Order: sequence, then structure tokens, then C-alpha cells
Amino acid sequence: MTSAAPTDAPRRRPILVPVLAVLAAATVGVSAAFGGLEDAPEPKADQLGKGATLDQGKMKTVFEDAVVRPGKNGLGVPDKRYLQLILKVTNQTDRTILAQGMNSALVAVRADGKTIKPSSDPADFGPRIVVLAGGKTYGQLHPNVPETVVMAFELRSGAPAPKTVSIDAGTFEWYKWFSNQTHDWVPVEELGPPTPEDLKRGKKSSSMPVVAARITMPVRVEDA
Amino acid sequence: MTEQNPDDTGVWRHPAAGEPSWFTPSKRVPRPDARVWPPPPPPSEPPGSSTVPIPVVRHASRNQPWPPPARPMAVPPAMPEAPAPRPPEPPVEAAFAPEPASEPTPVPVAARRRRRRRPMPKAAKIGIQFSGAVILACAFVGVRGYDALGQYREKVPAASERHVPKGRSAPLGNATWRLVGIALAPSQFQTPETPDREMMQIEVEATGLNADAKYYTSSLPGFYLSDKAGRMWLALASKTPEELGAGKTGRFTLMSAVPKALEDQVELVMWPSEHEGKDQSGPSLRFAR
Amino acid sequence: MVTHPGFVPDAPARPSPQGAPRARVPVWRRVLGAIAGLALACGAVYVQSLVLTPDQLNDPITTSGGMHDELVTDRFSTRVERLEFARTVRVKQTYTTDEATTDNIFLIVKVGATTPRRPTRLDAHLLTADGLRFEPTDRVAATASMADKWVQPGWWRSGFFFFEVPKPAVAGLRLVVAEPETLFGDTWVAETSADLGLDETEAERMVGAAKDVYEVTG
Repeated sequence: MTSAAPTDAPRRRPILVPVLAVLAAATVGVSAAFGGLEDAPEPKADQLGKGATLDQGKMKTVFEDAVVRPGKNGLGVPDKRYLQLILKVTNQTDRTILAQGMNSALVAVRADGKTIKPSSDPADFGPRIVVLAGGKTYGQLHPNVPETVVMAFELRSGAPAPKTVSIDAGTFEWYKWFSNQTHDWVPVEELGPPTPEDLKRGKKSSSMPVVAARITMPVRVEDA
Repeated sequence: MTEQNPDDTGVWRHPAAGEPSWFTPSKRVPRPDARVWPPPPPPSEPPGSSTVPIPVVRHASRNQPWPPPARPMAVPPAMPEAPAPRPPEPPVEAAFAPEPASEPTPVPVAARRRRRRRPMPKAAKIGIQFSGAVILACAFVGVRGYDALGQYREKVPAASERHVPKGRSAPLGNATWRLVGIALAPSQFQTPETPDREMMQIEVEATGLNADAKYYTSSLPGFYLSDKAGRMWLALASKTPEELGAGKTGRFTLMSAVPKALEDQVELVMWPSEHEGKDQSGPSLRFAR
Repeated sequence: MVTHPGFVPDAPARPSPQGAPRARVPVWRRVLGAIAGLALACGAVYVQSLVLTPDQLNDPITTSGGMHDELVTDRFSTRVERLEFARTVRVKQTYTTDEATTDNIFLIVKVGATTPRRPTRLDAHLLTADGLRFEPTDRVAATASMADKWVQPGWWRSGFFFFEVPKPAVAGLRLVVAEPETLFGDTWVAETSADLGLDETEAERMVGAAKDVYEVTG
């Protein structure tokens, strides 16, 4: 039950609000001064070298070698030279997949800093990716069976062999589709700056595969 | 209640005009409380001046078990300086009090009778509830099934078969079709390792209805041999016409293996495309022999 | 707060029926009712856990059996006729001979099949004891495989499926046969699943007795 205010109550000054305001301003100011309001730096991709092993979710990949050699054994024709990335891939899913799936697992490949994958030429279907066994080429990766996978890029005739090659490797996640609630292995992506095609379609950004690791390998040259 | 003023209810006071608002940090000026309850006597109306007759409710609260006596239990302390008149009866009480005290409850009993019928037997009640549940479940399953069937029919249209008399032609897709003949294939096509089967050779003539008929030479329609029970055997083309088009006629030669016993009763059935033949959906032709 | 009675009038209680006093429910019946209600609620929650996930809803309808059993579905019937292990598979064609080798081992399954109504083709895959799915190997030419052949009503057709499996995965293998998957994937697809009868000892014996070369025509 309320009553009439006591007449001799001391006069109270509103001090809490200004104190809080000053504290908040000070917090923001200090954060800004130490860079707290800037964008967080991109998480750095792991820098790996020759022989490194990377778990890409859907598969485990050992980056064994990079060779320039003439084509043979179903990997190109003998009078052309190819840059071949030799990988040891173990399928970690529960079913047989195709070696061609490494195309989306290795997001980008640069030879001496020049991007050769993804190709700027839309008519280029990308590198040929095969399983190499017993001197023949196949396409399947059975679950839990390590296989040698070769990704072959054709070199232009007369062009010098690259010294180094660097590979941007992505990862896959076990993804639940919104449309029908079923699961599948899907490349991990993030929103990045828009590509020219996306700009044309009116999009402000385009989804790019996340690079989990960058593998740099020296390139050997082998003559037939 | 406050000690200062017995008339002060402390519930609410009308703020005086021009009073500073509550958040202004200025000292409040205490004002004298005004008495609101019991209501002060009407200032100027002398008793008996009202023109509205007031019903007498004198004995209502004494003789009835309900409503319970609503007389105040705790009367505010008597105020010597202003003796309050008896507050008027709240209207709610008056509404529930039956007016004549002499006839106590005949009307409510009749109303109860009307509202509550004889209780339903327990078995009937459970039966009704159970059948309601079953009907709802059936309706749910039925609606879902109907929806699924509709979706399936959109993908795979219902089959409709047209019977073509012997020697006649019938249109299907982009051409009209005529069965020339079904016969045993020459002996070099027979397979001696499977004596229970017979290789049949079928001749079909097609006349294009429009220019799109030319696609039949490369992507064949779905040809099958079928027995009366509806079993189907694949009829694959061994020879297709060089060209087909609007008004042009070409001849397909088909080969099909069927069980030996059915050799002279199998009939040619065709769908406009291999895909529809595989699904057995949409329009088809059945040629009599 | 002390309110003057009548200022906030009490809600008047309805007259309770005098002729039919409320029937007393015995305590044991109340307890029984509570238990029954609780059981029904628990049952309802439990039934929800049986609802199939979308992944499971896409699963095929499987007919299971063993070696040499005739496994019948509405669309086709299969039976596993023979098992064979080999280190090399040689496919003889009209003009060429193709030899497939592996670091693992080839499993050759002879399957017979027929259909009740309409011609169809059949695909197969292996399921290991821990649920891994092996498709038929692409090291053996597809022309030699059963997948390439039409299965028709009226008679049984036999053919081979060639698989390449690691030796440790051989024990407990099952062969699953189904019609080829369509582009968008059908639901309620029929499949047959045959236990190949490879327990630990049998698997070891058969892998040990694997042929050097298994020759088929195709």
C-alpha cells in the first residue's frame, strides 16, 4: 500500500544513467582504438608441401608428386606433354565414388602462379582425372581403398614446364538438403565477391569453395 | 489504509491540474486525501426526491441459502464526523436473487432437465469415440494416398491401349503404324541353346504424319510382343527405314524372342517412345494378328 | 489490501445441483486413469521415434535371402547361383582379349534373374558387413556383365557381376540387385539382397582358393 511521500526524503540525483553512458562510450572507443571494429582476418589456409596428407571429409588425399611427362597409358597422347598431379586418394564415404569427383575437391591449381584450373576457357572441361592402376586408367574409388589418382593438365607444345605448382584444396561436409531433407557430401562454400557472370545476373555475391589448405609442390620433369 | 486520514483509500488520487510529472526530480507536495469510499452523501438531494421507484429487496438475503449473505464482514471504522448511508446493493447480487422468496427452485430444476439428457451408455460413448478416431485416420490416409496418386499420375500418365484390327493402320505419336506380319524368324536367327524360346520376326510399316517422324529412325518407339496375360517381350529392331517424314512410308523389321508355346498368340504392342514403353504409360497400340 | 466488500464483488458461484451430487471417483480409479494417460502420452512420443527419416523414406523395399534362394519382388526375381574369386579377369571378345588386374581381389557373382511381366535390366552392388557399398568394378568390360543384358519374362537369364573388394572386407558380403536408378531417383524401388554365405572361415578359404585367371566371354 502506498502512502504519501515522506516529506523529509533526501533529494536523489540521477547519476547511474550518465555513468553507464560514459562507460559504454569508453568501451566502444577503446575497442575502436585497438581495431575491434575492423573485419576479422580471413582464417589462413594451411600451407602444406609435397607428401602432405589432407582430410577433405569425403576423401583423404596425399599429395605425392607433380610431374611433367608425355602422355601414355590412356593418359593423353605420346607427342604431347602433361602436367600430372599424382595423388593417393582414399574414399571415406560409404559407397563407390568416381575419381572425377576430385575436380571439386581441388578447387584451384596454379602453375608458377598462373591459374590453370578453373580454366578461363568455358570450352575447357577441366583436367582429366583418372585412377592409375597396373598401367591402366580407371574411374572408380571404392570405399576405404586407397588408389593412385592422376590429375592431368595438357601443356601447350613448346611451353616450358612449370617449376612449381600450388593447389587449393577444399573440403566436403555431410550436408542436409533443405528441399527434401536428405543428406549428401557437399563442398564447403562461403560467400565471396561476385564473379562477372553473377554480376550479370544481378547478384551481389557468389558462393566460393572454402580453401582448407594450399599445397605447394616442386614439379619434376620426366622424359619418356 | 493510512493513519493520517481515515477517508484516504490510497488507491488513486486524481492528480491536480498543473502537477509536475512523476519523473521530475522535484519535491512532491503532499496534498490532502479526498474521501472516495464510502461515498459521501449526495450533496443536495434530500431523501425522496428521486423519481425512479426502487424495488424493495429487504428479505432477499435472509431466507435464501444462495446467494450467500453478501453483507459486509469488515465494515470500515465508523466515521463519526460523516456517517455513511448504507451503500446500495450491487446489481449482480440482485440479479441472482430470485424475486419471490416463497417459490424456491422450480424453474432451475426444469432447466436442468432440459440441459442434461439421460447419460449415454458407456459402450456407446466409447464406440462413438473409437469410430470417430477410425474415420479420421482413414480420411487422413485416404487424402494422402489420393495426393500421392495424383503426383504419380502426373509423372506417369495412365496407360490407354487402342486395339487395331488386322491389316488396319492407326496413328500414334508422329506417324501412323500398320502391322504387316508376325512370323517365325528364319532359322539362322534361332538360338539352338535355348530350345524353349522362339525368335519372331515382325514387320511394321510407318507413315510419317509430320516432319518429326524422322526421329523414329534413330530413337525407336517402344515395340513389344505381348501375350493375353499382359507379359511383354522386347522387340528390337534389326532393320530401320533409311528415312521417314511427312507422308513418307518406311518399314521396320523387328526381332523378338518369346516362349515357344506362345508363338502364335503373341501380339505387337507399341508405345511412341522407348521410355513410355518402359513405364507402360500413356497411349499405346495393340495390333491384332 | 483491504477492500471494502462490494467494491470488488466476489464472482457469484453457480448453484450446485442439489438433486445429483457429484459422484465420488475412488482414488484407485484416479491413479489408474493417471497411469493410463501417462502411458498413452509416452506411447505417442515413442511412436514419433519410429517415423522414418527422409533418408530412410528413399530406401528401397528389400527382399532378403541366402545363396541359391529365389528372391521374388513384384518387378523381378533373382537367385545367386555361384561365387568365384580371382586375381585376374580375362574378358574374351570377338577380336580382342581384355585382362583386368587388381591389388585387391575380384569377386565374380553369377546371378540368375527373371521378371514376371515386362523386360528389364538389373544392376547390382555389394554391401560389406559394415555397410559400405561397392559398385561393380569398371576394370572388367561392361559387355561381360549381367547389367548389359535384358531380363525377360518366361525364362531365367544368368550373367555375371564383377566386383573388386579388399580381402578383409570379404567376410559378410551381401549382393543387392535392383533395377537401374533413374535420373531423379524413384521411391519404393524393389531390390533383392542375398547373403553370400561368406563367414570368416569361408571367406578365408575362398579368397585363398582364388583363381589366378577367370575367363569369360563378353
